[in-house]
Amino acid sequence: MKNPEIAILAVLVAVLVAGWAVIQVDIYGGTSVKVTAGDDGTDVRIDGLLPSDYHYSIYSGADVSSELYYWYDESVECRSTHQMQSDFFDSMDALLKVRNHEAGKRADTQALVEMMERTIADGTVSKAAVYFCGDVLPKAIMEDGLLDQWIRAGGTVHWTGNAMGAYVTSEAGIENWNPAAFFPEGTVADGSADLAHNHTYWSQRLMPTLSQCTNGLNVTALNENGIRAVSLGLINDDGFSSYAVCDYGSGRIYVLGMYTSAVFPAYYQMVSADVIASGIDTDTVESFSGDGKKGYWGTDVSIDYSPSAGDVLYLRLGSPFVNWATTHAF
Amino acid sequence: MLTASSLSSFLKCPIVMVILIGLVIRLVVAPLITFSNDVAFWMFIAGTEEGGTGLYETTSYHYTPPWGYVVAVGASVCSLLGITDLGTFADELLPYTGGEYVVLDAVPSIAFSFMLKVPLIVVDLLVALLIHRFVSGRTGDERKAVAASAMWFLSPLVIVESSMHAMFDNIAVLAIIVCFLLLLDRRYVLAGAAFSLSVLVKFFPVFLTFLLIALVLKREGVDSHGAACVGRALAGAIAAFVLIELPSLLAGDFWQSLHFIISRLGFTAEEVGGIITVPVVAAILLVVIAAVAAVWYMERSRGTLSRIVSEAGTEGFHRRVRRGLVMVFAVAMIAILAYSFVSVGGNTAYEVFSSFGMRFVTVMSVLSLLIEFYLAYRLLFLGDSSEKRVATVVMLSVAAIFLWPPAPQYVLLIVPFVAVYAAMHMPALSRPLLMFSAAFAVYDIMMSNASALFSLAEYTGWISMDSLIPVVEFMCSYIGPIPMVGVVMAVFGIISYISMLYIPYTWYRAREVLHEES
Repeated sequence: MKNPEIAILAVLVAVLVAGWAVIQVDIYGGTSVKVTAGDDGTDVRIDGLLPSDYHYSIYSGADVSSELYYWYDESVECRSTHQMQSDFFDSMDALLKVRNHEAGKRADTQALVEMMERTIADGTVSKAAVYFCGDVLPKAIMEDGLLDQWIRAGGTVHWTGNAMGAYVTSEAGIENWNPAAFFPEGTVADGSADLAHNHTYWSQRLMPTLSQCTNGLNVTALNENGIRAVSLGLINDDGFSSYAVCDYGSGRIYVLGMYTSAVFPAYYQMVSADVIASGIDTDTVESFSGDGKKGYWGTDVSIDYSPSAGDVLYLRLGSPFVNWATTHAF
Repeated sequence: MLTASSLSSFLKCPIVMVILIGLVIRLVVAPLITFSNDVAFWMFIAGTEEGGTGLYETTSYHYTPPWGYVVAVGASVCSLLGITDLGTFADELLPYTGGEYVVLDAVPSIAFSFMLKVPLIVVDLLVALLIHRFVSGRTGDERKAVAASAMWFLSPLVIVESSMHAMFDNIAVLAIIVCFLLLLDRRYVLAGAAFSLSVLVKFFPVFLTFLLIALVLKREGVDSHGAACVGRALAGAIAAFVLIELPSLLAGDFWQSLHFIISRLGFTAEEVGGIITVPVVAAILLVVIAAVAAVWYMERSRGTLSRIVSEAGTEGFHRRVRRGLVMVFAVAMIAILAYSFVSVGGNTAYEVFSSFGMRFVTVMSVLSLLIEFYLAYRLLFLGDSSEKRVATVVMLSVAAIFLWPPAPQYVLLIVPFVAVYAAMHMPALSRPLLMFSAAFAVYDIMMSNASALFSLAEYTGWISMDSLIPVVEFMCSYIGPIPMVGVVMAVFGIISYISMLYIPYTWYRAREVLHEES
């Protein structure tokens, strides 16, 4: 060959263009899932271009919030940087997108207060959820008990960071508040890395790593205190969970036991996105599940289970990280 | 027609033997050993890409776009071949995650890892063939050509990076070699494009900018013709840069896509994005245009540039250049120290020192750039134009890029240039190159440690994960307050760094001997 270097350059360019095209083409987003339920069970058909491993679960008692808000307020100081929070929420949106879930809406403190007051007034609290990842709560919803009232009325909070309520922020800056504002003393991990190690563990399918116990809830202690709490992730010998949900009045609080500044947060956010998209909570029971491998151009999956009204089918494609997922409510 | 005797003589051809041996080693090693942690990240990226998530939509991908595109192609090929199991979770590893020694419980499958390694092995092969062709064409000596290729293709470091670590630095190496070859062929636009591609794969070839400009001017003349040729290369580089970065530019992820490059300088993408705004870029462009116009005017009216060029080779000018470079380094040090002071608010000397330490790479990068500039200046204006001298400057320029202790995969860039130089001009460098390759390969294996066998343990019955746990525990242990992984890194990093410095040292000693002999 006279000019192999030109040929090599051309091949490199071709590979880059092909890679760019693969990313642009929404291979799994174009996948359609048809779910039909008869008397004797459920049939699912997965159509799409490329084969993939899949996992399905049928949940009873799952409850998907239709409106997700991200508290993001650049006018007040937070314990994690605004850039980290912004990246965190961008990442959450991308992960929710491939799970066929609406992106979250960013709300500053003022918008958050308005949303909470509005949903309490019109009785739509249970449809809304708020995600906090600044490791601090806005003082405006704490000092008059608005957040407490809102959750008790049926609202959902997703939290990551130190003990929820330990710090609040306003234009005056960050203040210490009450680490036991939402959970009794001793039921929230103190950030010690030791909690993550030298323990045996129990795992289940939605699993952020055990190291996220550093800020996790102690579900055992909460249950002993009469507060219903369920581990969604891993749990160590002392009862601390890497990802837990607990009841709070008519509402619930999810705690992902990590800091926003954790290395590679998307790894843990995927689980959070699965929880939000599937709607699993303290009431949820996985009544049926299975694995399989999707072939080219479509696969029929027969589920020998009769779902009840209100059950949810959550289907995920990809191994082990989710390429695409969808929720189907019966 | 292929006969047994022609096949036999083909197989006895030395370069074919080198390639066969290199390929057999790679194809045996690649399925068995995988540096799990990095490949687990590629697995994550593959999963999100296939789901239609862009490279920078999640906080998972920190490199420039090209490798992300290669992973996307690799993952799609996996799917087309029916390889759908990209990896799994290993519960046994959970207690060790989140510590000083990075352990992920996500373990890539052997098939997925292998599929990502295949293109990297092909890149290794292409580099070997280009080296062989170049040395053979220049010297007409097949033995030298085979020796140079072997020093690359059978290098332990090269084998480890492509076939175990699945790191993509060899793509940057391939692109920069293509750039040099196109430059020699006077295809400056394409050379510029290859340069941009190389830099956007793994940043470090950017240090060769001065050298490449000097090579063009040396060849074309330090005059308007030479400047036009540099301009063509620059146009190619800018065009390729814009094209590769276009998706990131359109998606508003431009600075994020340059995270790896910016972080080398001790800054975050957000800091740089906050400083380099559109008005600032416009102002810089205006300054550059004004400076070019001023130089052009001064040259036309007073012949200033021609006078500088004619004086550039004199001893007095040379002295001024050296003095100027020392001054620049001193000013850069002060500026970086001042920035460190300001950025931490100047609370305590310890905080300032820590902040300055964080910018150690920046300081050493400035030093590298000044050395690169000096070498390019010497090439252009001082000494003869022999091929050996040019090759010496190229070899030294590449060796001077990594003045700070680098990660093993980064120094892959040094291997082909030293290999060619050793084969063509200084065989005494062969042994230091082998030591360097071996030292960095061992360094990388030690850092990966037990994780290199996680895939094998998860996907075969040949070794159990339980048998690897004691090694993981050892790496996660502490000697007093010092993490064991830090000790391992220090010991093997220092040995590797010394082996890297031994290359220019050997060159210097061999050069002295040559001087004495002549």
